[in-house]
Amino acid sequence: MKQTFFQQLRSHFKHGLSAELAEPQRWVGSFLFALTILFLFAFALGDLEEKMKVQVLTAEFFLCSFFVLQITHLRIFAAEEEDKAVDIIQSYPTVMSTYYIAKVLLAILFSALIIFPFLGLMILLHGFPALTGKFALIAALSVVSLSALGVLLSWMTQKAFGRELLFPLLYFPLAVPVLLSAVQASFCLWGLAPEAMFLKWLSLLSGLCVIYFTLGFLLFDEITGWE
Amino acid sequence: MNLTKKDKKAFFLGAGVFAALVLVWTSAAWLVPAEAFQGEVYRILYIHVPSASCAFLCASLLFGFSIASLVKKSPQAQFGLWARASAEIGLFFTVLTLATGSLWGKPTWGTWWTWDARLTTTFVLALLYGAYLLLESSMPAGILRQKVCAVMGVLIFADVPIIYKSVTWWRTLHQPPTLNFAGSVPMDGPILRTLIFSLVLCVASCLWFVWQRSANLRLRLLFEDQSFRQWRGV
Repeated sequence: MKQTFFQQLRSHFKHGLSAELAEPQRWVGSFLFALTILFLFAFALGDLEEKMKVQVLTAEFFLCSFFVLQITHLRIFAAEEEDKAVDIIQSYPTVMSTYYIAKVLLAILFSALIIFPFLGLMILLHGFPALTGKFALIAALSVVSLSALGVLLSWMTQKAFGRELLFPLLYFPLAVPVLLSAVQASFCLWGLAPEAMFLKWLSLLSGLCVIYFTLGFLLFDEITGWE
Repeated sequence: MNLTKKDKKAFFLGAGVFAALVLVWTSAAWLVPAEAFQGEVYRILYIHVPSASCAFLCASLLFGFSIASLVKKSPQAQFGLWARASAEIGLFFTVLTLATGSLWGKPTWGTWWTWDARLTTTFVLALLYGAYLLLESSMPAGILRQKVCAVMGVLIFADVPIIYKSVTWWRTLHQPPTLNFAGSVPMDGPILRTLIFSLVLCVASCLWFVWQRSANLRLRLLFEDQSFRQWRGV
């Protein structure tokens, strides 16, 4: 019996989740990276004036998010690759877009498990003024955009030579507009940029989120099943 | 060396376009008057603006060929070759835009480079073209490579509106677009006419480059295929 779209999505998500939880060392690397950033910036902040401190903390948060997501994306298909499970999945009458969405959800879940506690520590240790709904929205949109993009690129580079080098080269230039709009929107919140511009930056960020997710959803089917 | 009729036509067409371009640039350097505020340095505009337009044009071509690659269900290597040629020529014109902008920036802004929004986003476009070419050359030939590169071509195009609008969205050093569809162009007649001529000829040379480069790539593919067949003894 053929499964519905949501049943397929649930199966892929559950399978991916159990594969990730079976080997926690997969995401410990991202966690240690976030801790390193936190320690490094804690020392660097020193006697910075308040305005500068907020700017540096904003950069710290998005820098951490960018690299945590990059590490997550690089190995998002690793479990299936090791077990040759992708070939089995492709042989089923499954809509590959459900596989893509499941992987995006997993990337969001596992990076959020690191990024949001990291944000909590930044608020506790440095008084980062991020306890607002608007900042949560900016952070969420950035994570979704980068995940939608990262999962697509990760699949695209699966069969490429020198994948570990190639992935950041593709990911970085496409992630730059997301990071710039997220940083600018945050600056509008902290009063470091005109407040009237907040909606414009948020619109750009939302636009990129929609574009990357829609392109990933529509194009993922095209780049699977051609080997 | 035996040139076919088509080769001769391509050669004379290219030679004609380049001769006209050299003529326009020569007149831009000697005959068109200097600009009232910037003096002689403004003349770099006759290379900078057309090359920036060609960089955008190549992104549009890349997008078009990528979409065609994805829509055509049968393996059509042809579109892949056109797309690769567009990316190569796009990279050339983007680097030319950055270099001429930098040459103009030193006497005008007092610096070779600044992390201005327009400069940064154009630099990102150069990186994207480079990334496309790296991706294409690091995958084994076949339909998968064609599809993956087509997806990358579509993603690159998403960056173009951001670069174009960066001067209005961000507060930047770079001036807003001078040539626009609104009708008011703050330029003298001779300057504007020369700029439009160089723009049209630069676009023609860009299209010629893409055409010739894709023909060159097709030839290479043919040679590789034939040498592989000889090696296999087919």
